[in-house]
Amino acid sequence: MSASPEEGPGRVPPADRATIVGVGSTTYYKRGRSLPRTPIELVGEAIHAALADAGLEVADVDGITGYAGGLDNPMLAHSLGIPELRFVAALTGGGGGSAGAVGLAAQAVEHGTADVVVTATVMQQAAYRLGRHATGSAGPYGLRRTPDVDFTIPYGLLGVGAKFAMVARRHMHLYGTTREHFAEIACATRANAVRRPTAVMRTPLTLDDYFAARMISDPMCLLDYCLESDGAVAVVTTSARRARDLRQPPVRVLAAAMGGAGRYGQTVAWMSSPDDYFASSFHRKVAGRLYGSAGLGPADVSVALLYDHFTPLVLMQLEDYGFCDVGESGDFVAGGAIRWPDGSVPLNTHGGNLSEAYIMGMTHVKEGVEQLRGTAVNQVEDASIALVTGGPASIPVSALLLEKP
Amino acid sequence: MTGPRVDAGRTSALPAELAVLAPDPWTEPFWEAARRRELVAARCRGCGTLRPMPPGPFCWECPVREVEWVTLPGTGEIHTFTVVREALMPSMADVVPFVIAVVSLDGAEGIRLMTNIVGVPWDRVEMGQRVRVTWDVVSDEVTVPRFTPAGPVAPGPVAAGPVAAGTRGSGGPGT
Repeated sequence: MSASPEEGPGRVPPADRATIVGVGSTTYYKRGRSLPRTPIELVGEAIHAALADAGLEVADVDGITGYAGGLDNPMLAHSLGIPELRFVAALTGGGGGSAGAVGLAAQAVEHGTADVVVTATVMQQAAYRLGRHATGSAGPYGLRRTPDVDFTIPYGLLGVGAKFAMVARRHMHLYGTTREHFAEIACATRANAVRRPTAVMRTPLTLDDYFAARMISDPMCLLDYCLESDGAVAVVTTSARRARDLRQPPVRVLAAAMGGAGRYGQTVAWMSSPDDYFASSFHRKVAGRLYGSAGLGPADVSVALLYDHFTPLVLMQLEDYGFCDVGESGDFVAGGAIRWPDGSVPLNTHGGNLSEAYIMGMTHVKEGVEQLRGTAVNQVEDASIALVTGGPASIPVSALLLEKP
Repeated sequence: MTGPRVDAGRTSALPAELAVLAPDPWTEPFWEAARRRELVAARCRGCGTLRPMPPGPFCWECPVREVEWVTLPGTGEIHTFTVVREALMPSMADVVPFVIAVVSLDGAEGIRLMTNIVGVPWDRVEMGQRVRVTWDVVSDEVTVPRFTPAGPVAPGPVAAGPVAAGTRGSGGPGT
């Protein structure tokens, strides 16, 4: 693929290109265990850590980006004491915006709108549990009523997992994908988490453990679902010029893309997508634009940090990002391709949403940076390009290609 | 509350509190038809293109907003489904396991409806199964379309159907 002149990296002078110079996080907790700390305290701590990693201070920050509607930015700016903001923005949707929020920061930097942009997210699920989204907004068991959910809630569709379970079953039906293939995503990811002190889940996971887990929304069992976690992650983006004076080798934001097929019906809610992409991660078009703008392809990716809220949707991302053909992901993972360190494309070397912590995908960005700095716990040898994705979730889904300093 | 009952006129044990509707002018005719026990789809008055669920004001193919409502045969085929095993509300503790499905509707090519499969054990539900609508009269105001198998059902759990915890059966392929 060749770089597009509109989106290509050649359009921005090298000194102005966006680079990630700092990453930081809190401790990762099981759901509810971060109390009585407040969300502002958690996200502020992650931002302080990311700025310290970069060698920057709060006074240097002039931009904040987020996703899933974004942070409480007025309170955050007040709480941290940021002197002046020049760019504050967030992607809509949900976890699909994790990678794209960093893309938004990169755009602001490359256009000169802001100089030092923080991208952050915080999770605290003591009261509101994302997995029960339909019951969340009106109290723990209240139901919101709208004309659109009239077509889902009367049928008992209260959790996002049930939707993705139906996508997963269609994939099984069309391509012969099995629960053993789902299990390989869970087990390979856990094997990475076991080695990481930051991970919430550090007990090795066997195929027997997987098949003994209780079914939640058939064909998906407990271990096909990501964790419910508390914690925060922050990333600092600035220009290559500014990065020269900072503490860390800068990781370049080579390409960013977001969006999704508008006709698939509020992600998967109404399930009317054409069958050629019904059983997909809905990332296929985003992947094409991402690779196109970087002039790269899947063979160039050293490590794949794919948004893993549900194991079958990781399989479908492997297809949509071209690591294997559509329908072939089961055999692909069964052959060991995603295992660190020897697989052809090590997957979620940090333990992902499934086993390290579910901070709505921002841990994937942090791991991408650490892999390309060469400081990851499960370091991929000679890692030069990291793919980071957000979603599948409500539009937009998003992705980043990051490049070694 | 002592758990949900299947009341007279009801074809599902799902709690009635789930079926309190908030329709808008574009979805109201669907629910009005349901009260008459008619399954309908919205068809564009300009070009005849069917609107996907939930029906809305815009056509993908032409500028006309107005729709006419066509009555469908009420039959279809299971495009995909899940067996919900975990109750996400206390009132659903006695309802699980239950089946949520997406049905491709006969007489409306490309249009699918989310629904439940009822009147059959959850482990006899299969991909591609032929189904017909069965009306669940939830209250005086609300009737909900659910579906039930249209033909003979397997005598025992189906190999290509739901996968029980603790077994290593595959969920497919279905053909």
